[in-house]
Amino acid sequence: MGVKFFGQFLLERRLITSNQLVEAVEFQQAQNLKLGDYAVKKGYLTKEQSAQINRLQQQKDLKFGQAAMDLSLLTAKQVDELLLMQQNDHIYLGDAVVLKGFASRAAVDEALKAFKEDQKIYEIQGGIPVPSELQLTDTVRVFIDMTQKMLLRMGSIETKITGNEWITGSVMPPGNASLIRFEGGIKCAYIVGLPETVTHKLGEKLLGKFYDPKDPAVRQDAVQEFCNIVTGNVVARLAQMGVRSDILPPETLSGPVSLGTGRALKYVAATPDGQGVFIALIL
Amino acid sequence: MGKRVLLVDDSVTTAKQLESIIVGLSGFEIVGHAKNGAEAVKMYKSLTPDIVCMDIVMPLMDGLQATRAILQLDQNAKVVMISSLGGVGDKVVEALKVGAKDVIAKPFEPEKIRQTLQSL
Repeated sequence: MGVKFFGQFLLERRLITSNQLVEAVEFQQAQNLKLGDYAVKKGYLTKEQSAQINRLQQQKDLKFGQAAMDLSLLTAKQVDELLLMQQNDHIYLGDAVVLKGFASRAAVDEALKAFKEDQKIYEIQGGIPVPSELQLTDTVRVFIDMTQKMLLRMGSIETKITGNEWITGSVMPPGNASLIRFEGGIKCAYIVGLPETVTHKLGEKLLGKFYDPKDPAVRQDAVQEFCNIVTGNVVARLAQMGVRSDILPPETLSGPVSLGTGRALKYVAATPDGQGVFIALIL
Repeated sequence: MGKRVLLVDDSVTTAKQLESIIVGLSGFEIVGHAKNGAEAVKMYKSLTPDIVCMDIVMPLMDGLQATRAILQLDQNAKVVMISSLGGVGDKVVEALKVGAKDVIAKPFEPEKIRQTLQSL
């Protein structure tokens, strides 16, 4: 079990069908206007100005309100007002399911309570240090926390974060390593390097008698799939936080990854027997 | 004759996990393993499986594109998406719109795989 979407939870409980889920989501999307739509409705922006702001948003990876203020097309007060309007009008998926008549309010509320309990284990734990100058603190915590959670969930491997540091020049993770690139709302690359003992433990847990520790291709594949599962669940968690992103297929790392003029944030997740799982984010 | 299943995943690890579950499931057999969406479409044409277990993130052609292509070949095709993105709302909805029968998130419970295949 990984991070879930509430709609899926409703499907699993057979509260709604897949056709009803699609209909409810489309209804929800039609009802929940974007900030730009509110601004046009209110007369603060023209459609062309809203499009201009969208272009800047995409170029510089900004929220709509910030991009609008940067272009001096909206004031901070107007952005706050529009955000409040958006918040007040927002309908959740559960609301859409009820409004469409697919399930009762009581049934949806009960399912939501069970969903929150089910997903409690994926709340970000506190105590993960993040450099103070970094703006993406919550995002970084999601990556590190999800790595630890998946080591535990998939390999029964407990770890503790022992610190972080910036790396420049190049990054060369030890052990069996894989890299996955993110696109969309988050542009970064995630690298994980597992020492041999951790790789074996993970491989045995995943594959049982099918795991061949002597075959390097099998070991590498297990790490790549681990990397894929961590990052897929990061995408899901970030989506719940309002950040849309996507991942590319995992890459094998057989040598150092050049950082050019950029840098990577490195963490080590230590196992009780002193092995170090290497985690790096190229931001 | 049992239900014939085509596995589509660029990860050998996941393919082996699914294999170990399906081999133990009465009435099902695995007929092939494709490592990307393009291979999946070719293998669907040649093998005509009853069920396809399809990953999403793969090189060359992703699982959503492959599912679209397979359903254009055969509108009765039964495709189950099994993906690390299976918990992402947008992807779940896109998969269902494309015609997938179900979406299972990784890491998955073996029982979820069994129940889903048996329900198809």
